[in-house]
Amino acid sequence: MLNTQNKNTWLYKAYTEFSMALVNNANIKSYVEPLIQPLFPLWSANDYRAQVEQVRSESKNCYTLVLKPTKKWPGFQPGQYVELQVIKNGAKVSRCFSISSAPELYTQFGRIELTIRAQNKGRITPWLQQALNESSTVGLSAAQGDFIIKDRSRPILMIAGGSGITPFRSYLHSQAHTALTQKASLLYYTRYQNEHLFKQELNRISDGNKNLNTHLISTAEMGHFSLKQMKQQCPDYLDYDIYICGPNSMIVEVNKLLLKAKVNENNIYIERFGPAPVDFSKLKKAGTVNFSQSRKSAKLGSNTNLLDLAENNGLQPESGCRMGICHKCSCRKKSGVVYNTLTDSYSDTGQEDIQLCVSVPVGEVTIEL
Amino acid sequence: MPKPSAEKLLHLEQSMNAIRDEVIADLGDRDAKHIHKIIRIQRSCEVSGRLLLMFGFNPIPWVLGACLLGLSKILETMEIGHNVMHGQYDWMNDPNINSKTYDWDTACPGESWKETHNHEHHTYTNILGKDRDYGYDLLRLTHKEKWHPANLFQVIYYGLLSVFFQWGVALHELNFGGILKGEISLKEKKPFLKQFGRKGARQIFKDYIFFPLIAGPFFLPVLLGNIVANLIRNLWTSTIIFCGHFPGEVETFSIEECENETKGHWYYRQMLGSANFQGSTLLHTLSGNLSFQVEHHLFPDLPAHRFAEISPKVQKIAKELGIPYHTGSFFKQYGSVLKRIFVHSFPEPKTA
Repeated sequence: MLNTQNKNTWLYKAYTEFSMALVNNANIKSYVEPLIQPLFPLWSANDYRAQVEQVRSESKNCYTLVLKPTKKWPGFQPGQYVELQVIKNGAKVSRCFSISSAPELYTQFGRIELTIRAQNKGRITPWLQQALNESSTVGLSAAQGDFIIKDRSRPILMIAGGSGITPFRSYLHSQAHTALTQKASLLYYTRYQNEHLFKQELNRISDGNKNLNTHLISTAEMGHFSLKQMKQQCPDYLDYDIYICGPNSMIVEVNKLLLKAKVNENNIYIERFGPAPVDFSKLKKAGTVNFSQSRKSAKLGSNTNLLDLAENNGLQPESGCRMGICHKCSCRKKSGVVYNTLTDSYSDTGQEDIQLCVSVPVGEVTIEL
Repeated sequence: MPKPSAEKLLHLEQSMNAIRDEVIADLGDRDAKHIHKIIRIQRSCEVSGRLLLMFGFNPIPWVLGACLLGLSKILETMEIGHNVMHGQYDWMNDPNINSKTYDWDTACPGESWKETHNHEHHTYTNILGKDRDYGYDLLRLTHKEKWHPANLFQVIYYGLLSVFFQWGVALHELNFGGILKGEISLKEKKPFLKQFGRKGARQIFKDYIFFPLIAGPFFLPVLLGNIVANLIRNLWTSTIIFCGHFPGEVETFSIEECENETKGHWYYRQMLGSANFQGSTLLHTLSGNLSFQVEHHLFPDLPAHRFAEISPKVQKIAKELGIPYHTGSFFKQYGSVLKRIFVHSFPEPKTA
């Protein structure tokens, strides 16, 4: 009805003011949502929604959600992720997952797939597999992220670890539809040989395309990623664009080795699963945080971000992805410097909105919370 | 009443903390369902009420429409607005049911309310000179306050405050009393006045301009319907609030008494400074469960529909420790409020 993308148009401002006057909410649709959603569970005022079509087990601890988003959902490119929103025991929780299916599956059948590892001790991922079924509906964000193949004319090397195969599966399936034109290599690491997800599919796609080499590697047998391995499988790697997706520890290690091997930094593309680790040795002094609205003050313990710190002190800031993506936990910083673990940078000293979940205080910081 | 020993206060603190922890650990689906249900009922009432008013002066739809709209406003102000803005449902992580973002259907800006009510009133409950909710700078309700000839007419002030309650609450942050006494300047209050102007204008636009206008020939009946609905809500909320803090037996405190107070003493003060009234589930819901004012003041950010369950536990502890627990029927409590307002209109007879 209204272009909500551009928040600066006078029309948008007028609508917001009108809506505030009528229902004290910036969007009248949000006000009537509680009346409409019980009848039409896929209707939503602000977010996109999707019907769960299937929950398919892929391995001992991985499963795939087959989702059918509502028609409004704008589609995606291979390598992008979505934020999945569900209600667990009355509370909204959200997590980000890479889309593991090809865009063609969406354009032809309206379906997308998310392949998820049930995290050991995870609060959401193991529960999700049990809680969702064919009658469930979930909230869905638009596809986000820029882990997409930038240059279709250059050869690419994909390095995946564990469930980090998901964005590459999307790309490879898509290429299988259109016939791969660029040279591509995949190095896919899991601990044991039988843990590779989509093994048959990957082999089938690889067999059908002479431009694609896939290597399924078990670290227990072959060891972790090494330059020697890479040179063996992909001798002219310096001409390649290199895409890495997997656990943090792997990404850090692979990235280090690649830079050592003189790979141009601009040719490396990374997708992290989970928040970036904080190098606490870099931080000069431990932070003290003042929460101005609740009049509480806390000292930073070891490896805690501001969101955890706030929650440990009995505050309940809004939160979402906990990895610096959804901005739900954005909060006003009144003063002080924070270190952003996502952008690897220090903030300004003045007032600004920061994301609690990826911010670590340096020195004394005051947060409006 | 003599102050309980430090030991007793510590016991009180621990017992109350335990009740709170138990509820916090149990928060979940049930609470989410409750607030969703109330929101659905309220919005159905508002939509149907506003539609019915469009039928003009046809008596049945008009009366029904005004009452439904009044009911919607009561539910929205009490069980939804007041409670959501206390942060009772923040754990749901729902931006539409969150204290950070919610604003209610009254002239009082949410931000202002969270400061004067959630912070000032709930922290300094019934401390004379600090809790400006006590008598609203308008009514003399205890002999500890000096009598002034203006107090002679305070029954009338009370009546006017009730009729225009949403505006009284909205202007509370202005601290008119403080400005008259020269303690604060009007200039300091400029940001608030701007906020108030904006919110007040929105409410007036909605109830008294927009909806009457779209009714076309039925401008007048819709306007009157909205006035009546707001009046119903104002009278009701004012009554509930007064029953919560001003029945006869509710106590007041001095600033000195509360210096460096422990959490135990804070709990103790909340119990002495509040009063419940008994009634049906419907009455409790319509009062936003502020009929459990004692429990609400002990645990302002626990979902209010839980108060009925924890009330017996609170009463048991109160009995064990010999702390008064103020309660009675609705009419007994309200009668007591009216009597208190009337009695303190006059100076106390000079006795030794």
